[in-house]
Amino acid sequence: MSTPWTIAAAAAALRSGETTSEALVSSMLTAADTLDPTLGVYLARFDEQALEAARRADAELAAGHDRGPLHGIPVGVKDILATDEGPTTCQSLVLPPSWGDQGDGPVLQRLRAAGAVILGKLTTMEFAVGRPDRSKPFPLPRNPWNPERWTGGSSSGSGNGVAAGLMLGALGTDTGGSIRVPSAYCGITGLKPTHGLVPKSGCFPLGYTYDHLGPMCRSAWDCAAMLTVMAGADPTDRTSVPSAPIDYVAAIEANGGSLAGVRIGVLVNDSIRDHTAAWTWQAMRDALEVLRAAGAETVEVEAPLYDELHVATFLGLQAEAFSYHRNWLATRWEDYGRPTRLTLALGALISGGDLAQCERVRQAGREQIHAMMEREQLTVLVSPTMGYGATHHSGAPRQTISARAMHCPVWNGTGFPALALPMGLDPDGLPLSLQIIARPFEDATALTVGHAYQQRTDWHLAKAPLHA
Amino acid sequence: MGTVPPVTAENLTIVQAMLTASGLQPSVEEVERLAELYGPIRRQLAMIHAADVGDVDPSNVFRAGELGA
Repeated sequence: MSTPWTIAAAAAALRSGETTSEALVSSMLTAADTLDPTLGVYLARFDEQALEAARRADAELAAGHDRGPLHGIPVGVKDILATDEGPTTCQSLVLPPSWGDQGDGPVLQRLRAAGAVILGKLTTMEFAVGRPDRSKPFPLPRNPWNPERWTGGSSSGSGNGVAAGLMLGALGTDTGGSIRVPSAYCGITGLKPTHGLVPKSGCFPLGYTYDHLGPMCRSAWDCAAMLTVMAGADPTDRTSVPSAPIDYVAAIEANGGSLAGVRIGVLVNDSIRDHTAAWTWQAMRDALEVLRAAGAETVEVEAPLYDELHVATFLGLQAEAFSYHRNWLATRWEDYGRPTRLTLALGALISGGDLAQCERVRQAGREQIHAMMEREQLTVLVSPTMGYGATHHSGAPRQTISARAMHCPVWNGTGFPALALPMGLDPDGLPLSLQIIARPFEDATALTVGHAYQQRTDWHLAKAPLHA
Repeated sequence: MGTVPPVTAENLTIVQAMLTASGLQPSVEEVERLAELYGPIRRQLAMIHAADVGDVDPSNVFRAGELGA
């Protein structure tokens, strides 16, 4: 059989005996030998350990020990998360190698306990910030839909690795859109969970109060399978929230794909419309038709304080990032890539009073958006994830690289869960993405709406030209 | 589209002072670039300080479980 390329399909094939974890891992490593020199997915590969873990997974399944949907599934990890196997670089010359000595954090431990096979560490942008940087000795991530285009960031290798079929799932992190942007650009599905749902320990910080860990996969179902394992408080992260375990796969399958009773607020703030291409907006209209056919009701709404939240999120995360990097910037300025050091230095220009006001805007925005959803009886909100398809590596039209064309950061500032999923292609044949936002800790609701959409469409199964 | 606003002497002075206070030593060209970026940041800061956020108390923003309501 051909290599399955969703977790759901692979899980079924592993149990029917059509494939083995070792065969899956071997085929994906072989494909990486061919594609990775072009795509820049990996910073480090753990081939031997992965094959050994795959053989263990196969032996367990053969013996009747089934750890669940992730058992034997090949997964990659963004290289700002520490792992037992090897070094963490954050794609930087600045990070002391000893930082990664802590090994697996709780999310890695949970994935392994669920049987996932860790293939290696994936490219990012230096310290998950800045822009693609050719001045340092790291791969430049390229988009499997067109290698002249960027993958988006900062979970770049997680995005193009899944999209190219080099792994079935990946761990990403999202501080201002870093799961959703590469998911959008690479045509995959990615979830930024509610802040506090997934512990962050073992992840290098960018903006402490904006950082999120989340799954990046082909489908909402696959993200649900990963989130089921990843979610849950851990004492090593004081911001993680104790809650009863949720089987997100069971939750999204519970209604049989019907969206009856679901009321969707379509965000039509001027700043979203003004920074979205006409073809992206049309793709979203088409997606809304699909959701209405599934039983949902749609209504246009404007999110209160949207522009202020967008700005406050960027300014606040820059200030938080600067607090971590200040001493290194003072002593090792030249060791940072230029885009990184300039971005981080902007945090020095934000005063304490400014940062406190960012926090006030965030809290007010959170309360007012929540109140709007209550008042309008909205189950979820939707918008395009990005205004445009993947940008060029250089010379991109200004409007396509504007931060205002990112419709993601507000949900980092507020902490609401947000799912990005493919909804079509632009005139250049590049993926376009729908964003589904739910109320805090209603991640299952966003996944349910996304799953219902993907039961009626196949954009999430579209193969990029550069694919295993 | 695409025009870069001029760097004002005031912004250049502020940026240089704040970078120095933080112990950073960018090149002259980088300080000028940061001063260029500081213009939009000042406008953004003015926007959030003008926002109608009422008497909101942000001190519980990151207390676990208090998102939303």
